[in-house]
Amino acid sequence: MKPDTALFGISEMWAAVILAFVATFMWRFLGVMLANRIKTDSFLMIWINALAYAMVAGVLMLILVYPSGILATTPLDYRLGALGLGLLCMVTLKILWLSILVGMGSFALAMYLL
Amino acid sequence: MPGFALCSTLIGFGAIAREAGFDIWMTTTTTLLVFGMPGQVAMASLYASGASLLLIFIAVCLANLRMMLMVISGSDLLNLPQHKLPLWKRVLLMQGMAITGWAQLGFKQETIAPNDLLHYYKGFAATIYVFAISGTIIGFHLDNLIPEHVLRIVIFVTPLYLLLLIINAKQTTNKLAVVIGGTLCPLLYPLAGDWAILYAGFVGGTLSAFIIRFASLRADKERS
Repeated sequence: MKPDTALFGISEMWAAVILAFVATFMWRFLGVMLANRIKTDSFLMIWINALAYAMVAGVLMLILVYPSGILATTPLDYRLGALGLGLLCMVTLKILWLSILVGMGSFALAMYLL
Repeated sequence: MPGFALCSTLIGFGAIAREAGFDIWMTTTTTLLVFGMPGQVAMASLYASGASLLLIFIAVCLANLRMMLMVISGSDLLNLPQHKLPLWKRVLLMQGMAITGWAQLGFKQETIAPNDLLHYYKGFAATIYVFAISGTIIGFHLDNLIPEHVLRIVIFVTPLYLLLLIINAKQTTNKLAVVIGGTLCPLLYPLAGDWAILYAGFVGGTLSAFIIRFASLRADKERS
């Protein structure tokens, strides 16, 4: 933790909060502006969708493989093993609640029993 | 379920932000205005590590570029251009577009009629916003009251739940994008840091779009 200092009259922490907002809002705003200009069934839209899916999957896998905070105290193979079981269940049975239960349950069991 | 998952994730954020030295107002304002967990965590943990404001800005930009793609894709799912809403309404609606809402829309597009999807999204986004803010406040204040071994499992549920949702994407292109992007990103991270998200997203999305396009063109050709 570093001490909160003043920057241009506002606290540096508030500046960090505002910058995080600006860094997020500008992408959302750009998305709103571009959304009207791209045709629904065009290849460009297919590509943008694929980019979004790949990027979101990437962010989520980063959270699981390189977590920050309390999740970092759990073993990586437990996290990946439980995810693998959940995914296997989802791909084969296509039942969301059961797959969540399998993933979460196997993670909890691994944490307590192994 | 999405509300529960998001609430628990934001409990994690509330705890991280408090550890980093932020007060309750700053922490809640971050959730309210940013509304994108990975960027929020990047901001709080980078600040705690003593990073400069410029570095924080760049890291959040990189973590949240996907918002633009999700807004374009989400607007398309919601048929937003046809609703002819004023700009401020579209901006306000898209403030709620984060991974949870977007993945839920993709999941529900099969069961809800396109014209009703916007109503569903409004209700859904408002609800998860309330859960997110509640989670942040709970995490900030009650971190010590929730036993660590429970919190670990609770926080594990969010990425698990969302990955399960997106692997179930309707279109094969998007399924393949999830597999390539999700595999590539953690592999690239040690080499590229935060840029790994962009690289993996670009390679995964582009490869899958072209592979499926090529395969369907070939199938068409063989048929004719």
